[in-house]
Amino acid sequence: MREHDRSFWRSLGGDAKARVGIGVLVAFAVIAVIGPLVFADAAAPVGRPLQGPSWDHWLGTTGQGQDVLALTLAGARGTLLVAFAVGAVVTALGAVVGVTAGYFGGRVDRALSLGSNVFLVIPGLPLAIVLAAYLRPGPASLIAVLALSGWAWHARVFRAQALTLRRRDYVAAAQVTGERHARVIVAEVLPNMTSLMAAAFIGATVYALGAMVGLEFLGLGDLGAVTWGTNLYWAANDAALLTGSWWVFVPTGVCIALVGFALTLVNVALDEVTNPRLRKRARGQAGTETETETESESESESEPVLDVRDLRVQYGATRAVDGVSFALREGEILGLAGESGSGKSTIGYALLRLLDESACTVTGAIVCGGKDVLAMDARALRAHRWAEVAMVFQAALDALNPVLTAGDQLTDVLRARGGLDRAAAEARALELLRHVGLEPQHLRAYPHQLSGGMRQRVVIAIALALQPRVLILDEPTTALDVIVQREILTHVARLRRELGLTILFISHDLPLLLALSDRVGVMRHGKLLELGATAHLRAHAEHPYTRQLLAAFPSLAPPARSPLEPAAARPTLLEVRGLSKRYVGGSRFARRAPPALPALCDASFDLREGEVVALVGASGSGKSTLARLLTRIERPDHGTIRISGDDALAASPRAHHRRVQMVFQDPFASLNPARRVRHHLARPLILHGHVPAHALDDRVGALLSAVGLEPAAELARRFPHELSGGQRQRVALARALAADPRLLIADEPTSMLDASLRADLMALLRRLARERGLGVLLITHDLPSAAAIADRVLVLRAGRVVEEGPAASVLTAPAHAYTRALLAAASHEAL
Amino acid sequence: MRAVLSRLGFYLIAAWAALTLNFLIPRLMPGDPTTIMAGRLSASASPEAIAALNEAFGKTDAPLHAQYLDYLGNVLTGDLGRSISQYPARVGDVIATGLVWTLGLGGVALVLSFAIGTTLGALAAWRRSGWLDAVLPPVLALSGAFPYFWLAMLGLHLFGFTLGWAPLRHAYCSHLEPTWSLRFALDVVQHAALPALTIIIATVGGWLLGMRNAMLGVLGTEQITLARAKGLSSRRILWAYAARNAILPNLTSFGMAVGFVLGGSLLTEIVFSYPGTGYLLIQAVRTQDYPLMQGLFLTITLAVLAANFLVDLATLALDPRTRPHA
Repeated sequence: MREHDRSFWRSLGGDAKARVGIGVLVAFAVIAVIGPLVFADAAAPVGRPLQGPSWDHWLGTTGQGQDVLALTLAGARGTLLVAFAVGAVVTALGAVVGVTAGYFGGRVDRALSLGSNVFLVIPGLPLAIVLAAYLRPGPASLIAVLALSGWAWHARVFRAQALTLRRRDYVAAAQVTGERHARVIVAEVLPNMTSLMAAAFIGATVYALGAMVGLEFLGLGDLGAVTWGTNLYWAANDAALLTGSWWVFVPTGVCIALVGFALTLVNVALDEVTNPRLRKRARGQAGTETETETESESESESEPVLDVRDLRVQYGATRAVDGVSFALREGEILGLAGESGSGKSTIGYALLRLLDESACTVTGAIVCGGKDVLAMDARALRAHRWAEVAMVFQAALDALNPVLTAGDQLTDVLRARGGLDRAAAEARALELLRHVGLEPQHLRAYPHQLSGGMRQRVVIAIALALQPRVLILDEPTTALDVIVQREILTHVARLRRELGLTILFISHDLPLLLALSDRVGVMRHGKLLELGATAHLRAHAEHPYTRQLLAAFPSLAPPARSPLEPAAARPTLLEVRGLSKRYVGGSRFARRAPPALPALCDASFDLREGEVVALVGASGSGKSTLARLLTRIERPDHGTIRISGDDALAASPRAHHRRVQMVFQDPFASLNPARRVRHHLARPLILHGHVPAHALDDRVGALLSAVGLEPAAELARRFPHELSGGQRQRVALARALAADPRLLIADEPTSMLDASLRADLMALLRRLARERGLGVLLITHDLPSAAAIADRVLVLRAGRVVEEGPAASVLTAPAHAYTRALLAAASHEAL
Repeated sequence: MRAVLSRLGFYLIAAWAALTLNFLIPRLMPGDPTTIMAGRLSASASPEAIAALNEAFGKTDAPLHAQYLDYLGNVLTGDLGRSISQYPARVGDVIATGLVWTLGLGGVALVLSFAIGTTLGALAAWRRSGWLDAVLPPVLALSGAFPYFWLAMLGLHLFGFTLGWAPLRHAYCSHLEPTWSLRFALDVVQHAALPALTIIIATVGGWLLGMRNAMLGVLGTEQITLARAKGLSSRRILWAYAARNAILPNLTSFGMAVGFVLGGSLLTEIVFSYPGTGYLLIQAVRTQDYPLMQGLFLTITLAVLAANFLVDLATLALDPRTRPHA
């Protein structure tokens, strides 16, 4: 998948393969244009039949005495025209069918997919032969026949792509803006498919070239025309092989292969541009900054288990890790904090020497048990890995092999490294599973049959397999729900006590590290800024960045502020009564999903004008479902939604979206990467405000200024990828405000932002609510951020509202056990 | 089991669609081909041939749906009508003589090509920037760009006519009787070697590139990092972790390619005068033997559907995620 248009074409132009391929294609295009002009009578006999190459006839003559060179050059036009025409028709047909199926889904998708899958398994060439045998030969029937037998594969590819794009937030955002489906497809989906279309066009042309030449070779083309396929037909018919006249068929075949190869080269280059993994090597990120003093820990109470000295990791010109030194002491938990790209994960990989050493240079020393890991040979390294230092990776789903059972992945390391036989390995695997709180039957389970928390437990069990001295935990719970996260962390803390493990805990979550670790280090731009005992760091952080991070995490006590003044006097904006939604089925392969738990069950609440209500719950609690119902992306099974007293479910979609707008969770996903900032703001202005074209730029500028983006005129011209995360989320907010809605739904609007930016955006939301009388429904799993701005809090669990009340009382005196669990998880107390 | 049945259901629908397509093509084509053919044949056609034509198309005065039901009934009882060019031989019998050879040649070449290409692709990706990865993909992409039948012509010219290493035509020497003897078997292998080789050369590049790219995708994931960190042997990581996952998308395209490769091998058969379905098909086209042509199309399609079904079963066996159970 490609995200940025221009850089994509630029890198394609810079690719050697693409240049060679395009060069060959241009040469043949020239031949196709002038060939038939120069050799108008290529088919006329000019010499004696079947003569070898000579000065008169450079490539010899055919069985009918025609000049082979003339035939070959003149044949390019007819051949290439048909091939490229088929390429275009097949791409268009595939795109229309595939995108329609993928975008609309449901019954439309099932019908269209069935059709294209059936066509896909019916062999194309025999079908084309039979069809061509009935039709009058000629270019038009060739194009029709080849297009009919070749479109299905591309429809399938386009469908798959449309299915992913359909779930992108920017498509949902466009729907919420009030766009019609046809316009969403044309303006939002298709611009993100240009590389796919190019690939489909090239692939279809290659197919068409081969199939067309094949059909003509069989005599199914227009035998009077001069094309490459008919040249080969006559070559076979005139017994070129029997007489050993290789020159009759070789030049044509070489031309066909050159065109096909050139197309393939361009396609490979396209593939490499769109799929960076195929390129020779990946580049690490992380910038460099001015030198800062690293606090080195001189007082060592005990011999370190692992001693890292002046570690540097360099990818090309960027330093991912820049002179980091620290020592891990026996039995401690050392926390390593830092935002993404700070180099903290790279350190974890370096300790096991898992970095791709052909792509980066690693210097310094990592001393473990008296030996330097960086100097080990392959054998010593294998002995070091997992037995001395083991690691728990961030995303358990990615880290586990989907085609092997949990048991297989445990026993293979036990057998290969622990020297156990099958029975002993199984017994030990069971013991390990019990250790991390799993049941014996999970031994036979495949990763996809386990929940996220269970998978992470399996990964931990694998890490413990060889009883390592040091365990590295790299963001082990980031992908998990807060409640599950807490269970895992409690477990880690217990394992450490029971097994005497030494743990290096890597996380972006500083409060979590402060709660869990004995010492904490703070990283930024590859450098270790500060390292100290937890209590010391909390109270006396020296580096300004550390202090900024500490300040960015709000406390759980709601800040003292004026309540929403005459609360009762404000009119009710949103009235939700008995709202329920149940999902049925699921995808074809998702039958393991339990039969339709209600996603939302009998939810009722009110929201007043100018009021900020926080909807809090763990993932899967129904928060997002509620947002999708309120924005009418989906319809409820039961219940009513009233806005200012009107039935919102009966209103026209566009009228509804004028009053209800939404800010999505991920600003990297909710803005269309192929469209400029201006597009995102102009569309709702045109749809809802009926702003005339000449006033658009002023209104776009005013909106950007209102959300604090300056200089507005310049920012409006940028593409989303040219903005920072915080700027993107402000653009998304401006888009939601463009329709001048009454109700704003904000779905985890700050979860993808760095901690330092969260407070700003929250303050902005609150200000907008107060100044414009806008009702804000803030959806979050994060109680501290809810506390920061909300007037009231609703707690949602398994689709039901379990607690509701003023922010202060819900936070300080929660009534429901689940609210207390959420609070405990957020505060990391008693880990 | 449920998954198997649902795939079986799909292929039954596909088979029905192919049958219907086969029924409709002669009826929907512009200018009613039966009349055109009867016109072309009128000078030489015996009344029997005209009768065969009508029988083949089920062309009666009955309404279309009645013709359709008749046709379905005939096909299901294995009655594909009579061939015109080899009248009065039954189409089913004519096809049966060719099918054995096509399945033997095309099937063996396809499986060999897939096995070789996939293995080389896995190794090329594993030893990134090794000589295998530097040389094979471009060379095979170039050789894959030549039309199958052109490679066959070149091979026949070089090894058949010029060097005299390979037999020139047919599946076995005409003086041998087809029997289950070692001598005959060796003769068949000798005749099939060059055609099979050209098919393999033309197709192996596609499998190699597909597998290589899928491997590179899998090699970049954390499951491989974890396997490496666990200190497993390279062999286990390569085959049980990387290749085992990377082969799944390749297997799916194997099913899709069965039809394509079989179509291409039809052309190879023609160059070598190999007596398979492709050779029959082109004979049918040249002699305008429409009943035989339609019968061949149907047979080839059903063979491809069967092959696809087998591939789907293999995918179900290899990928636990497609098996619906808890």
